[in-house]
Amino acid sequence: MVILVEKIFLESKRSTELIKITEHVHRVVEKSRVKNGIINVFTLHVTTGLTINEDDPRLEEDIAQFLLKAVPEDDSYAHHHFFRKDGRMAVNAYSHIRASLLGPSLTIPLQDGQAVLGSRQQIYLVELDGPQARGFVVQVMGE
Amino acid sequence: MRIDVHVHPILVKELTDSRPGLLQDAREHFDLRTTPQPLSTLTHEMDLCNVERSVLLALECPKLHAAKMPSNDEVANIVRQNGRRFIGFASVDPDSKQDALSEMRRAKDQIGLRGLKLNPAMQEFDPSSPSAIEVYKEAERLEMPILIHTGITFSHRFSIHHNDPLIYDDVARKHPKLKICLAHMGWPWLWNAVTVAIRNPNVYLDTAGTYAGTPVEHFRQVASTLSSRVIENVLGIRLMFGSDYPRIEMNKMFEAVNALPIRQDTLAAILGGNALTYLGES
Repeated sequence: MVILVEKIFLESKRSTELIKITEHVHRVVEKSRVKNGIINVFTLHVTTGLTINEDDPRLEEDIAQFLLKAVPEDDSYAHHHFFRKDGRMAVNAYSHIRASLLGPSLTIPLQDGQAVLGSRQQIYLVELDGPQARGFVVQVMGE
Repeated sequence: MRIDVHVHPILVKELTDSRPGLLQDAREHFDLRTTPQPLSTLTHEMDLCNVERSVLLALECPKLHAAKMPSNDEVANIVRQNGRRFIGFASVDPDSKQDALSEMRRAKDQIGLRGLKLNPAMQEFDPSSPSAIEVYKEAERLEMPILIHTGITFSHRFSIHHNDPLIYDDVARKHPKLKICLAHMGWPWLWNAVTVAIRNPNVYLDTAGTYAGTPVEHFRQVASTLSSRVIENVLGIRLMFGSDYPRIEMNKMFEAVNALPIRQDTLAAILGGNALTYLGES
C-alpha cells in the first residue's frame, strides 16, 4: 500500500468563485505512481468547499449565485460577535454555512493510474470568503 | 479614484516569514490571530472593489517590548516596491521625544513615508502631553497628515482613557495646518468625533472597523445614529473610506459603505476624493 499526501496552495481572487483543481489532482496521482486505489481531496479551510461539476463558466456562475441566494449575507447570525479567538468581529457565518452545504472533501476512484472521472466532471475548490490564499490536500492511497 | 486610508500590513506573509517576531507581536499585542496572507491578497481585495491605492500604517510601540507592527522600514519597503498601489504612514512614540522627532524627519525625507499613525492606547502615551504636542508641531511643519486611533480598542489590556475624539479639538485648533484623521469615526463616540470635525476644517474621520456586527449592520447603526443628512451635509467633505484590513476584509467594508443611503457625489468623495485632499493631492 502506498499513501502520498500533498498540500497544494493557490490564491482566490473573488469573494465567491469556483476554482478548477482537476489538473492539480492529476499531477499528484502521477507523482504517486499508484495504479489502483482511491483519491481523497480535502480542503484545509472552514469557508471553502469542494464539488465536482460540469466545466462551464456559466454554470460556475450559476452555482455561485445559488449559494449566495440560498444563504443570504444580511441575516441575523449568532456567529456575528466579537470573536476573541481571532481578535476581530466574526462577520462570515454565511460563508461557513455555504461551506457546510458543499462539504470539505471528495473521494475519487483511481484505476490504471488515472482518476476515474466522467468526461464532463471537473473538480472545483469553491471559495466562499475570498479573496484569500487557500490550501487543500490531495491524498492518494493504493497499490 | 478610490482610496482606503486605513490598512494595517501586520499579517502580510512576506513580512511575518522574514521576521517571525512580527507574528508574535500581532498575536500578543495587536490582538489579531488570523492567518497571515500574502500581499497579493490585499491587492486582490483592492482590485475587487476598484480601490486604486491604500494607506499602509506602521505601528511602533517601544513600550510594548519594542513591538513593531510593522516597522516604519517594513512599510517603506512595501511602498518602494509597489508605489503605484500604496502610500506609507510612519509611526513614532511621542514619549521617545527627540528620537520621535528625528524619526519623523527620517521617515518623511529618507524613506518616503508621507504621514503619521498614532495609537495612544497601544503606544501608551497621553495625546495631550507636551511630548505629543511636539510631535503634532513637527507633523504640521513636515506637512505629514496624522491618522490617530479613536474610539474602542478591543483588547482590554489597553486603557481607552485617551481614545475620546474630543481630545483632538484642542490639537486641531492649535495646529490648524495639521491634517488630523480621527480613525473609526471614534466609535462608539460618533457624535464626539463629528463635533470635532464640524468645528475644525483640518479634521477628517475614517470609516475603518466594524463594531456593531457585520459591516452592513455597523453602518446601518452609524447611519441611523448620525442620519444620512449629517453624513451628506456635515461629513460629506471630511469622511474617508478606511477598512481596517485585516481586522476586516476591505471588500466587505466597501460593500457596506457603498450601500449607505447617501447621494452619489457624497459617496464618491468618501470613497476617494476626501482622501486626496487629506493627503495633499488636491
